[in-house]
Amino acid sequence: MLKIENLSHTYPNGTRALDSVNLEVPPGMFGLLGPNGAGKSTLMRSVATLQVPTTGAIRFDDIDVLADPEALRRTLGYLPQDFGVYPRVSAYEMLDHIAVLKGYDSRGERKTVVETLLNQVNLWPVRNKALAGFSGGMRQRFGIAQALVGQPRLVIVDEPTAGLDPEESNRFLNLLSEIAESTVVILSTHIVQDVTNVCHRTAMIVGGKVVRAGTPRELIGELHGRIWEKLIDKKELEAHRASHNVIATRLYGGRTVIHVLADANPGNGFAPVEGNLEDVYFSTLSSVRRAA
Amino acid sequence: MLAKVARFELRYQLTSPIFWITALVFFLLTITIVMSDSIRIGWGGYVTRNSPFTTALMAMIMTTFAVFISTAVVSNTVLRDDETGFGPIIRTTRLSQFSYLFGRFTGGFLVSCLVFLSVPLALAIGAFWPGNDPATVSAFRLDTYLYAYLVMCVPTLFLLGAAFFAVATISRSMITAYVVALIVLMMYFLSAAYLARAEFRDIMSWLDPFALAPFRHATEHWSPNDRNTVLPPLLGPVLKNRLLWLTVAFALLAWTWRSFRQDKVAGTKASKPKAAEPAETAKAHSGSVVASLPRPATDSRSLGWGPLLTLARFDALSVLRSPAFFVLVGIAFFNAIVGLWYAGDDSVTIARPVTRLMINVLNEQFSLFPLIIAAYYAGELVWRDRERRVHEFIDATPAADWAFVVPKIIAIVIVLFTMDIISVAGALSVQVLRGYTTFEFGHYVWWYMVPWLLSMLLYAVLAVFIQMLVPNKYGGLLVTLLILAVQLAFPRFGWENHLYLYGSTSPIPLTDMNGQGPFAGYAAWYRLYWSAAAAILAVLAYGLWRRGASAPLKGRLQRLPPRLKGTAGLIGAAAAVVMVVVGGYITYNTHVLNEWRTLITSQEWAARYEKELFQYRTLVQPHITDVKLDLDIRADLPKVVVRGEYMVENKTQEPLKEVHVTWPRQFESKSFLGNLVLAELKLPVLDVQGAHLTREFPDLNYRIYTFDSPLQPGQRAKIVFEGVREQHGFRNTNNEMRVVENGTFLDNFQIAPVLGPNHFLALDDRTVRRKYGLPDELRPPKLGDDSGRAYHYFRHDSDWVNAEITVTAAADQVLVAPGYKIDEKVANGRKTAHFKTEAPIHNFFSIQAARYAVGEDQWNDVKLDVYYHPAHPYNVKRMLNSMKASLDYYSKNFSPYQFRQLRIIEFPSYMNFAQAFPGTIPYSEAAGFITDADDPNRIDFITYVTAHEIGHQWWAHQVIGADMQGQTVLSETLAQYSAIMVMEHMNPSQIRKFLKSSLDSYLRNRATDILGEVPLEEVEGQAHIRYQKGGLVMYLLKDQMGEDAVNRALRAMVTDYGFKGPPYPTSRDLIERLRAQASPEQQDLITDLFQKITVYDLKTTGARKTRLADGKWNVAIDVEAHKRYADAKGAETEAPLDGSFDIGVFSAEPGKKDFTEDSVLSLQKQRVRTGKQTFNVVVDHEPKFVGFDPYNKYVDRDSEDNVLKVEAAEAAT
Repeated sequence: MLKIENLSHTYPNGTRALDSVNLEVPPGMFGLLGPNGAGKSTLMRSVATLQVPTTGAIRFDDIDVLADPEALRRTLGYLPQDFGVYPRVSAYEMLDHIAVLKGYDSRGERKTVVETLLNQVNLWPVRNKALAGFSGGMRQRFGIAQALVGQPRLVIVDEPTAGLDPEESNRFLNLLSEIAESTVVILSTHIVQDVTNVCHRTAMIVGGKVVRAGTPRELIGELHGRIWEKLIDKKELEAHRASHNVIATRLYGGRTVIHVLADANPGNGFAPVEGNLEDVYFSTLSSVRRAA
Repeated sequence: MLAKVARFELRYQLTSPIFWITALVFFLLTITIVMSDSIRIGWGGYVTRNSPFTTALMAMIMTTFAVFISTAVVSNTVLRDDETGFGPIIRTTRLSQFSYLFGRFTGGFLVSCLVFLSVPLALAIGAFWPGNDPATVSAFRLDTYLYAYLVMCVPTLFLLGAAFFAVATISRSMITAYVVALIVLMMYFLSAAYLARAEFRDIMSWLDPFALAPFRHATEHWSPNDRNTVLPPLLGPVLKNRLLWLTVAFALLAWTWRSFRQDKVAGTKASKPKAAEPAETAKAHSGSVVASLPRPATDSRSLGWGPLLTLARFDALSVLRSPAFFVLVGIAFFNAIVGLWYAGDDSVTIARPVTRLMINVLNEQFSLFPLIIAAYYAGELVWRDRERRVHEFIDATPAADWAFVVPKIIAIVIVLFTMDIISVAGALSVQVLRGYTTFEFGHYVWWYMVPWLLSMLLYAVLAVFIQMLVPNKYGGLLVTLLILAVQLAFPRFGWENHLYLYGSTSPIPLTDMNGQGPFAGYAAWYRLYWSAAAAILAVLAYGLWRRGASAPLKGRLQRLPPRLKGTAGLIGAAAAVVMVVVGGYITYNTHVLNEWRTLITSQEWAARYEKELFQYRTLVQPHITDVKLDLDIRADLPKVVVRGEYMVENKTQEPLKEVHVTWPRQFESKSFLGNLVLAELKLPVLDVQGAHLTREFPDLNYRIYTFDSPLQPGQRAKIVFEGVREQHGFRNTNNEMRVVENGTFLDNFQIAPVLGPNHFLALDDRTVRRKYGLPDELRPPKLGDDSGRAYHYFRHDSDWVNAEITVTAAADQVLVAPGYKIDEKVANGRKTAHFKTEAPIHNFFSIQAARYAVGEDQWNDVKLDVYYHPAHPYNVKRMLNSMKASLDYYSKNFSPYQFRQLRIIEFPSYMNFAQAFPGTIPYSEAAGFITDADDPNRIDFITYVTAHEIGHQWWAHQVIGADMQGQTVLSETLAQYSAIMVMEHMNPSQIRKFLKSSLDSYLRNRATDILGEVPLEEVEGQAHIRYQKGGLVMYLLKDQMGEDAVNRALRAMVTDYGFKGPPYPTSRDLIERLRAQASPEQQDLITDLFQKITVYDLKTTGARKTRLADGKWNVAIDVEAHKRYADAKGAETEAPLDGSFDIGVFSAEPGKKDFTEDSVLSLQKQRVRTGKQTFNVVVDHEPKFVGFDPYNKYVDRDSEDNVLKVEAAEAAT
């Protein structure tokens, strides 16, 4: 169980990236949702011991992460949002290097670990190719392989599916959910659908604050019967915004579909629609923004 | 549009800190150099520090560093848009490609010019900075700076800008541009050393992109006056070079334009094809597979040795696999090979590739580049994870921090070790290729590989540490290199303690005779000290390691103390203890056991010595008549105890009241042979019979004794002394090199006192003298002042003395001293040899001891010996031959040889010269014993040097000059003439080459004469006048007067002055005897050669040939002749010329390969007067070349225009 208490972080330039964040993350897949610049990566990096927050506490089981980052690192797998590779180094060599750094002293054990993981992420056939020549998906699979070295009990993946095609993205999430059975996996993303699909629990972070947390089902349940949909022309949008609580708009066949949040049917051509996590996300965003 | 783009670029860059920082760095660098009195580039003597020549030269030297300006501000002006990703946006605007590309270039180029403006600014401000010695500054001339900047520098900046703009824009990589910049600069500096040789001069005049070579070529023979007044002309080689390179610059721009236009279609750099996607396998993976894996050793807080090596291997491979590494090592290697190939060679001699020379070359040539490689890859490895953006997941692994630091240092060691091996392989292959097969692997390992690796490692650790402090890789590299540069400059300012010069040790001179001597042992203490320092730096680097997302230094410093708890801190503390203890021990050795003395403190001391004691220079003293020395040499300590006795006599007509005694003190001075070191002598016993000590100058090693009753004319007294020359422990530099286990070489100035002040201690550099409040010049008595004739110039306290020398040393040593060996015995493992003279000699002896082999021969009744190191038999025969030829010529033409023996004795290469003592010639192992003299096309310097030193047996040891102006004409100039005559008789074809090199050397060194030039008859310390000009003058006289006439004059010198006491002869006495042998027409020539500074300007302006009816050829030769007299600064005034000169007609060009005796169709002396004139010569064969003074017998500033090719035949008339 990962526990984050009152975590705040202010960058030297004054940006308050995290503002009293409190979170409890049980084993299983945990989705961290938030728009760009919400503080997700700062939170991830703080948990991954890469950054020391200004105040607050992070605990993982009985490890005080801030006081003893090394203890957490021994059981951590981390896939950063954006990472590169060494030139002229093959996937095998690189993974072997990581395995050494993660404490596999014996050559034999390392071999087993590296080979198993390369198979697991389906990179075995290209293991001797230079990482620099990998496609985005292959590189991302390598990323998860390196995160899994050393049997981590806490796995943090930051925006892993950004830029992947749907097939690759699915494959990636499947891999994650496989390991999540006994492990805390935090998936930070702004793709709501990913969270809906694979996460047991989720939290939404906006402006450095956790604004919603719970299981997707609970969160969607809260919106039951309160989401209304209407297909309008683009020029009508402003008028609707003025009169209704529009939480989301999307284009559909050249016209605009809008979702509004209302306790009762606003009439006027609106039809009830079953809410999804996206609606939760957007309604949350819009309420936070309205409050700001 | 182009102008607008350029203006934007200019404005953009002027706001960037790079612009201001670079300008500031160049300003400071330049002003430091121009203000320093110790780093003198192109000035000194009469040449002022702001002379047009100096200003242009310094500015041009700074253009070599402008490589960095151009890479920083020009090369990236277009590439920047690709890197920021802004390129496609700009390229899709309406802006034309041409305006874009060249607008940016123009802007960048203008910025580089603005940055470089700091250089002339610093040159001007630095020269006029208050506090500079005013005599070294001349009036401000704006044109000097404008010329240097606009004409000499801006074209180079344009070339550099174009070149690096092209490289960066075409390769689309800044790294390539930086690497190319580094390579260009290194190649330039390192190759310049070899290509500066005369034979490459013409080609380098073209090839040097900075135009320094043609500039030097064009100004080579400039006098101080020229340097002070003339703007370097944009003519000849300089102009050609500029035009060539400007063409290259435009070609590069055109190439860039072409490649840029083609690229535009492709858009951005094509990326490599991606690896194929592996096909999805049917195999279903499950999490259980992962779960079943072995768990890592998570409980251990540290990693074991196995993974450490694995990590180091990983890091080392990342360097060894990078293409840049191969390029860099390749260049370093190539450069070392070139250096190795020419190891030990100078402009005239070729040395055999002995291991010592190979190692010296590697230490010099294979250090800077590897050091930069080490520093560069230290930065690469430290920053690699961040640059490659893998640091986030690498840093999140449980690996301990040292698992990042230590493997990187080990990786650098592996990389360095690879280079270490490569360099030795290079040295061995050069030895094999040059046919030298005595492989000394042990020397390579212990003299070179191990110390080299350690020094490099020390710098690598420093570089890693600096990368921890500086928030940018290139910044870190720059700081590291800056520290290196500052360290190289420090000793110039007198800061030479190796305890603050990172990684440095006391010097370890290598010799074949004495190996590393005790010097490696001394240096080991410094190595230990710096290794401890490096350990501390490594611990700090560990403590400050960047881990995590953002890692400002402040935060890491705060975390430092807790991180140093535990093993790391203990290692650091232990290293600190070692450093303090060893540093203390070293300081105890350098400051307590020995006195701390540097060149600068020596100069201060010499100034004090002169101020307090030179008042006694004219005080008349008794003279030494007999010398007894008994030396006990303990090279193992090292220590020499000398017990001595002088018999002194009042040779004057007046009673003498006092006798003054002085003896050596540790002292360092600059001379034309390099820095000379005199070691301290303690004098526990000094007793003057019948006199008592009345005054003592303790720190000056000077005492005045007053006779109880004055010493009457003819009365004698005895001086008894005991001297101890001993080194306790070791020194920072200047450790004992004269008393060593194999190759002790002492002279009596070093181990015995002198009566009266030691005039060799006087400082001669005007600027230095003024700095210490001494009068500008301290010069010997002028010619005509007969007071100077009371003394000869070796020493004022002796005329001719009887000597008896006893030497005791280890039993395995061969002992040599002047005089005949009358006795030798061995007892208790010690050998004692006893030498005694049969007739008086100069009070100037050498004492040598080593394990020698002896090459023997006989000339008449004279026994010839060459005492040599058994590994150096190469030139013994040649020396013996030269000895015989010299004795033959000199005894026939001058006077009989005065000894029954003549000995050449090798000494270790700690010093590089040969010197003539009575019947004894110490000869450095570097000065001839390893010379490869087998090439018949080269001047045989062994024969020459040997003949010169034997010449001194007459010209110094029979006839010695008075200590006044012109003092060395009678020794050095005549020995030079003697040697030339021996060479001409042994191998006449070499003479022309020898004279040409003498002429070049004389003309070149005129400009840097610190005293100001004097006519030959007044020569003082100037080596280029007494040797080179002296040789030319004597040879010309011989050519004009005839060998017999000249030798008759010399014979008369020996007859009149040989072995006689005061009054000693002067150069005027020689001139007088030469005049007596010369014809009336030759009298003016003698005046011009000896008594004026005469510079001839002889030129062949035209040559036309005509076939005559009888088949012969008539050649009409147009010549122009001028004679000018120069003053001390080299300012010239025309004088009428009327003399006899060679006019030659040749079928091949004199001095070229195919030129032989048969090529001379006609060579006759003709009377030539000032101005233009034509000579007609009829020859049998078709003439190809004509020459006016074709063999360069006269001092002619442009010796290249004497010979001219004959044009095609005209129709017969």
